[in-house]
Amino acid sequence: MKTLNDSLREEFREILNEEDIKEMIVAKELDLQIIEQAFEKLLNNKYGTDESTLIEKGRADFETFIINTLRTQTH
Amino acid sequence: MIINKVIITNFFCFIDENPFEFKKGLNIVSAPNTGGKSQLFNAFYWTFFDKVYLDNVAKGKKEWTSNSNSLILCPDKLKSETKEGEKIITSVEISLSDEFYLNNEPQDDIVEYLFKKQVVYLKNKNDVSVYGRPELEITYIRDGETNFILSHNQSYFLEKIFPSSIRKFMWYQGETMDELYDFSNPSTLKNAIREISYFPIYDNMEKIVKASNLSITKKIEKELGQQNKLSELERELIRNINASAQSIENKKSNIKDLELDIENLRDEEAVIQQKLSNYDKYRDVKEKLASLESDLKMTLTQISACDTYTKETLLNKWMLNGCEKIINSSAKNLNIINEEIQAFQKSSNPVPLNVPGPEYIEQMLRDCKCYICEREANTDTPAYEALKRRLNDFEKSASNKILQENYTELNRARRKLVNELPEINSEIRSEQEKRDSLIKERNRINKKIKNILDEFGQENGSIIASGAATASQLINKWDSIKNSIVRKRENLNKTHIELEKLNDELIAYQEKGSKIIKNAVGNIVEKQAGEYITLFVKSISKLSAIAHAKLIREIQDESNKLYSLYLGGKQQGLIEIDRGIRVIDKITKEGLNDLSTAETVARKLAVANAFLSLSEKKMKRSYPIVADAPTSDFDANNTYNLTVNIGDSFQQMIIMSKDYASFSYLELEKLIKEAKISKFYELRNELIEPNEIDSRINRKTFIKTIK
Repeated sequence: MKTLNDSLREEFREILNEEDIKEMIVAKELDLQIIEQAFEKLLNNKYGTDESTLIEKGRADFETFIINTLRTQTH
Repeated sequence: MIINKVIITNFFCFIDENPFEFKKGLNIVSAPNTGGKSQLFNAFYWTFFDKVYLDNVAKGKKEWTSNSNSLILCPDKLKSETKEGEKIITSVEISLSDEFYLNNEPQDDIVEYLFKKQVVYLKNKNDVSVYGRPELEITYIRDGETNFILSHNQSYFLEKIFPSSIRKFMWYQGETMDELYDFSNPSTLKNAIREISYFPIYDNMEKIVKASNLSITKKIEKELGQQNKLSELERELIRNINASAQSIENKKSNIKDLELDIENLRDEEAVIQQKLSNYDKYRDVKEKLASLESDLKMTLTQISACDTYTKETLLNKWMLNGCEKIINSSAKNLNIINEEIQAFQKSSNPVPLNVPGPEYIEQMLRDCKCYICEREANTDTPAYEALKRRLNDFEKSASNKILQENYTELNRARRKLVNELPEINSEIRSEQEKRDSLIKERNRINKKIKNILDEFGQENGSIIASGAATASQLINKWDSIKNSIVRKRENLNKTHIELEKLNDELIAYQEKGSKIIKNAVGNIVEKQAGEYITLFVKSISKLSAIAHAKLIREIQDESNKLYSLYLGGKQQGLIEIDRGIRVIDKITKEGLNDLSTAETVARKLAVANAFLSLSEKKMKRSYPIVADAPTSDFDANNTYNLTVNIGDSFQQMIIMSKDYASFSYLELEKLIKEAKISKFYELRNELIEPNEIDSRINRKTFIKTIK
């Protein structure tokens, strides 16, 4: 049975297939795997409220993942 | 979520312990009027939401009552039979299975929650009173341990499992359908959409990626600063880029706030419009009444003036009515008087009439000499006699003068009367006609006033007056909201213009900056991360917009599917969801506003059920629908269609209705099979002791399990 996260992933993938987003991925040579994994970080923090600490936690998770993954790749 | 079991003890018509078991799918509780179905609904509502739907004797109508601390919910039989000083315990226990909630997030782990609400009453001499206030206990078993949801967390927990924005779709009283499904109010739709959709999730994601976008820009700047690769001018340029980006974000946030404010104001406006549609009639009626009352006052004044004129003027004349002959014949008597006057004036006497006065004549008689002709007038001579006669004439002349004056006066009055007499009748008649017509007008106005008051079902206009006052207040509030909307829109336009300028400014900075950064940055990780984050900012905001449009289409499609099912394919149009919800013609797309009650109810049910059905599909959150009398406006066919088709849309539905009581046994058997009914109960309120007197204290609800 499809979970809520499955539905959210599905909708995000549809957006990644939109023409302008696709062009952006190609032009900036972005890695689809990193995009999908970064989206997982957003999914982990999807139930935040307006509290700035929760937004900050989500931001840190998301941003750190992208930076660390890119650093690992660079090395 | 599945409601498994309900045990009702000593609650209104349910005496002692009354267990109900419910299953997945469609559960029906059939009962004729007074059977106890509404009290079963009340048992649920009292337990979860501390309210009951009861008769308000003072207002003469049913309404939601939340004052459960003082409500007496125990059965009349127990009130009457319990001995003084003894206690009565009323309780409801509900067990349901649902996902385990920890903070905000369901944990994909089903647990059984037990809700137990109890209130204790004390029997006094003549009545019962609340002895122990109603208390709700919520427990669940997890990992072999019984856990309690503490009372200060209960409302939060109830909000999680029955979100208030869609609570009214899952718990509803057919009689209050209109107020529950107020889809003309855009916020009803908006809140429900938020509840069943991902929008709060997308909003949250958007906040995270935007915060990350700002953060990464700062990191890039810091990184470049550390590498000392930029000149002061270049750093200044990057600072400008960051400041512009920050200002743009602020402006966007302002725009969002303003749009939200406008949206909220429009919601408020819709609520006022809706309220006004209920109260506006009072304003019209009050204006009509005021105009009628002013007409009435004027008519009464005219009637009064008419009466005064009749009394003061016409009555005197009227009394002479029929005296014409007497008045005419008085001419003869007046002629006699006139002749007498004339005769007196013609009498001959050598002493002239214009002598100075009687004293002068008396002196002449004493002196026996006439001083007019200077001759002797001795006693017994004709001259002396003539003077004596003239002395008498003075007295006669005075009375003759009075007589003449009276004659003149009488003659004038007679002539006037003779002239007026023929017109008295017609004047009286015309005055009477005028009065009759004014009275008719008065009666007509009174009747109109009475009709208006009767229409509102009361003897006086107090409700109209207060309704009109409310309408005026609402109009004032509406005006103020309209003004606020205009001001907010002006502000919004101004902010948009400022945003455009800032965007131009940023583009100019970025054009210069990108070259510098490209040269300076080379391939630092933060720069690459920034590109990923920019992609997320763009795609998440796009996701939210696309998902909204898609969701509206899905709600519309689901509503139309259910609408058709509930009406057995005989629907006249299609449900359209825009800002509000309406039914439109399939071809002309014009709104249909002459739908039957059944169609209107089916529309509301279809939309509400579409929300719950989609919530189940989209958010993986299922809610049981517990409905009291949802089919009360349906005929037997529609009830049958609805029952057969409604169960498929939901994981669990409990319908309480009197409409199945009229079905024959064979029809019920067919319905249970076709509608795949999981449980079917029949409730009957009957005498406890059949040979005793029929009274509330000798009655209770009996439960029969049909399936």
